Amino acid sequence: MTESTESPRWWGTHEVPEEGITFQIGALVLLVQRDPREWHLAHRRDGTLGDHAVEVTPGADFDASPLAGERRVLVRDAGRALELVPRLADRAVVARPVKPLRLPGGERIDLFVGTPLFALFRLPAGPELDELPLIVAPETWFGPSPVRGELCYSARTRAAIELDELPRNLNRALTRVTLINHAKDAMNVERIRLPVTRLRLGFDASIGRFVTDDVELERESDGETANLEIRTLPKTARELTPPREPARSAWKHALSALWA
Amino acid sequence: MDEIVAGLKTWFDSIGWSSIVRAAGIFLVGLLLARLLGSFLGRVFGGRVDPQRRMLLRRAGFYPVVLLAGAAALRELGFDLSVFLGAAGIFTVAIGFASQTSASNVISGLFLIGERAFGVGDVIEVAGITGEVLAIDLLSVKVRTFDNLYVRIPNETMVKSNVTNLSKFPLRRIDLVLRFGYGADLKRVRELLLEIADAEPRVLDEPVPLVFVQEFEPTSVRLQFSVWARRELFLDVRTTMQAEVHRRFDEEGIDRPVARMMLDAPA
Repeated sequence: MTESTESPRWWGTHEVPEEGITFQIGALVLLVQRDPREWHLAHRRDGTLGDHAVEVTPGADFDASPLAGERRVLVRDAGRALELVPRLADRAVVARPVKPLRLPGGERIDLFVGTPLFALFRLPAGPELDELPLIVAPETWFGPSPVRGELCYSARTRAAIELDELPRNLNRALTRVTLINHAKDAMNVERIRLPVTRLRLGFDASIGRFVTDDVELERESDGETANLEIRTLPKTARELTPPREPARSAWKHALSALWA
Repeated sequence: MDEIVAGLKTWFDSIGWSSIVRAAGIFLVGLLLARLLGSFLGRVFGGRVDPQRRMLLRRAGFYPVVLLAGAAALRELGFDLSVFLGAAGIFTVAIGFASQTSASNVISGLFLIGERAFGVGDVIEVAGITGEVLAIDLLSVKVRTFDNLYVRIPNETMVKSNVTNLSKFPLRRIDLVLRFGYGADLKRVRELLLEIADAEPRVLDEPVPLVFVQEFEPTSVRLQFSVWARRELFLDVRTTMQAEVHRRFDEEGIDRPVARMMLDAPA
């Protein structure tokens, strides 16, 4: 594992010069300008930009190209600094392996699953200005029917078993998911529902990636029920943001409520 | 006329002005308490229930207190309430015979409230009218249509008609019916439609989008393209999908039937 010094940090507190500042975080280009009593924010999404490119440059050209979500946020005193806080998604994420997985009975495996990040803009020790997804994740429904279930984000995942197989993207967070099959028969894993609103987000400088609390999914020997347990952040990671919802360490579900 | 005035004067003298003032005071205080109780119930339990039940809660707090205050005020004026209630019973029967339609609406209203097929704030479609439910009252349901008209639909009509609640479930399916010429490559058409659905993040990954042939018509093939989205995004997503289908199919030069007219100009 190597120390990551390649990409500048897009998160944290930034001094915003008079002419503004532009953040490029993967395909998202974010423009910020300040006046004494307002913040001017806009963004555009450029699919031609790589997912792992990060740049922070002075200057913000609001006239250059069509912008989305242009807005003025009015405050008593704008100050000079803006803080960008990475956050996990505001709904659970259903991760669907690109190729379906099969876990034989009695097996246990660790997978790495990436989920999209959001950025919260706030003044240091001041009010929150706005929140924006760094990646527009498609929506999906997770439930037994269109009547019963939950609206989630959908994420295609390679479900890598080695960390090095995954690109180093700073617009996603990695979750180590441990799958344990206590039943005798094999289990097909087509999608996994990750309760990211209950996970902490951290940054692991040793691997240069955002990481979340580890999650353990355990299929019980009856084959019908499953346990979900939220573990801790990897030891090498530093916590950045707490969970959006109060975390429960473990809870039991019907199997179909966690994976399918 | 003089006799009536004299009779009223005698009655006022017999009960005394102080009783009248006290009765009016009791009734006004009762009204105030009823409003306070209604608002209190609405506020305390309102956050946990839907707007329909919130309205019922407010009324459940308001009307009984008003009735009690009215009864107390009448008692203060010297009315014998047992006689009054007996008269009210006879009056109710008479009114019931005279207004069967209204009675039917009242009973239908109770069924509607009990059945809970829809509530205040839901969007419903009934007897060709689509709009948001503003109130479910004893005689009628009040609906605001999307062109901002106020429509009163009698409860009896609601009970007898098919009512479609467009707000009941969180998801809706958007069906687009598309026609293609026999020269179109249906496999490519299907791929394109699924690509369009995949590129729109508001279209749900699951339930999965569907493309299937509805019918082979004499001059075209009729396809159904169905995608799912959140209920509140129904119109937005439908419009986006229609525009995107039009754009992509023009780009790809997919054969779509166009009505042709032959003009035979005389020489």
